Amino acid sequence: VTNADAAPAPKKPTPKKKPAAPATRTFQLKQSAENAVHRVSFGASPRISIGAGETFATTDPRLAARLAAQPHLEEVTS
Amino acid sequence: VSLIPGNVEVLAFGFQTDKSTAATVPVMAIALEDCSLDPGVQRITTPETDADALAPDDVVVGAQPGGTFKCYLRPDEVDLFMYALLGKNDDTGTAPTTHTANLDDTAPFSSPYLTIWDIWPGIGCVKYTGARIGQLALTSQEGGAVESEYTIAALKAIFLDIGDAPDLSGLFVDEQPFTWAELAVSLGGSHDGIVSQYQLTINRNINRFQGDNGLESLDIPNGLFAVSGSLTVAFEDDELWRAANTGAVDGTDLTTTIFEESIDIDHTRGSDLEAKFSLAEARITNFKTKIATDGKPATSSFDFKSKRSATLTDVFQSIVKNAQAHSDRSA
Repeated sequence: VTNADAAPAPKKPTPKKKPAAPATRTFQLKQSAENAVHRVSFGASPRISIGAGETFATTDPRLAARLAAQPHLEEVTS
Repeated sequence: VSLIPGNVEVLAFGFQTDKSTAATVPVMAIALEDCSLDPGVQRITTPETDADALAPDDVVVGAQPGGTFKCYLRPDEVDLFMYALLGKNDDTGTAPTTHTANLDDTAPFSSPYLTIWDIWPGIGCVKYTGARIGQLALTSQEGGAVESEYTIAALKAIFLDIGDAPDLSGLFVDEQPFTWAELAVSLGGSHDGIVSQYQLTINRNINRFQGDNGLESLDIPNGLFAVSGSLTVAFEDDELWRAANTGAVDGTDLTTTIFEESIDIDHTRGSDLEAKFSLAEARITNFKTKIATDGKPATSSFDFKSKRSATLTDVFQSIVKNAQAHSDRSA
């Protein structure tokens, strides 16, 4: 029996990568002095309604992109 | 038998957080001119060679809850309806608050789902859930009030025990409807006081996908957005007549150009109450003038339709000023 004939050593299972937890992004009404809007309401499911001093957090990247595109909203950065 | 007065039916509205979760309480209630909301049970007959002498019975094949309701245009109600119809609203200012509603640039097919309670107080109540406002038709003419007819579609209808009908205290607006005396229509930015009748239709062309969900529909997606209407005006010169046919107010030959100009339909009561509906580029067609053999002033009517635009606020925008802090009636 040669080494070539020997059964190959079982492969070590490669550890599965845990999927990264989706990032939470948080939005609020723009704080700039020129933004006079004190509540913005839009969306259906979920319906979103953000007033002055309130925030809306989401882990859904598509929803976050929509929120980021709203002219009267800004992302809260820590 | 206790007879019921016919003038007691009301509707109440609440905003849902998502398609499937009914609102727990209404945020506004209204009086009605007319209402055809109905659970919309769909039935057919299934004729077959059953060797029977009797016509076949009906079978239930689905449900399409919805219908129309008609109410007068009131400044402290219409902001909620415009948000529900168009899908996006910004609130600015206080006393009065200005509510600006339009299609949402980031999701133009979107609009909120409502829960609507159709209530005959003390008698019966149907709760419509997952409801959308699919169309608003506004009409008025000289000597009249301004009337609004809304078309509704809902996912589901539920009959409530009357004891479970919501408390409507404080949900009604105590104010008079807008009338013709409070209206100014501007054509091309100019208000000449020549309009004697208007009709405006804002249509989401709502669809229904019932799916295989029993008597509850899967969804009622908005379709293609269209804004159209008609005006009757004094026939004072040939400018619009030429424009509607040649594409220019001083045109001579017929052309393929469709004339367009802005139309603003503005109802105002003092400085704090207003409902303004604006089309930045209304395309004008079908200009017709009526003779009046009795010598009354000649009037002309024409149709208009909002032009497509990448700027959705140009297609249609409503601006409502009133005492309500927020169009979704949140605190």
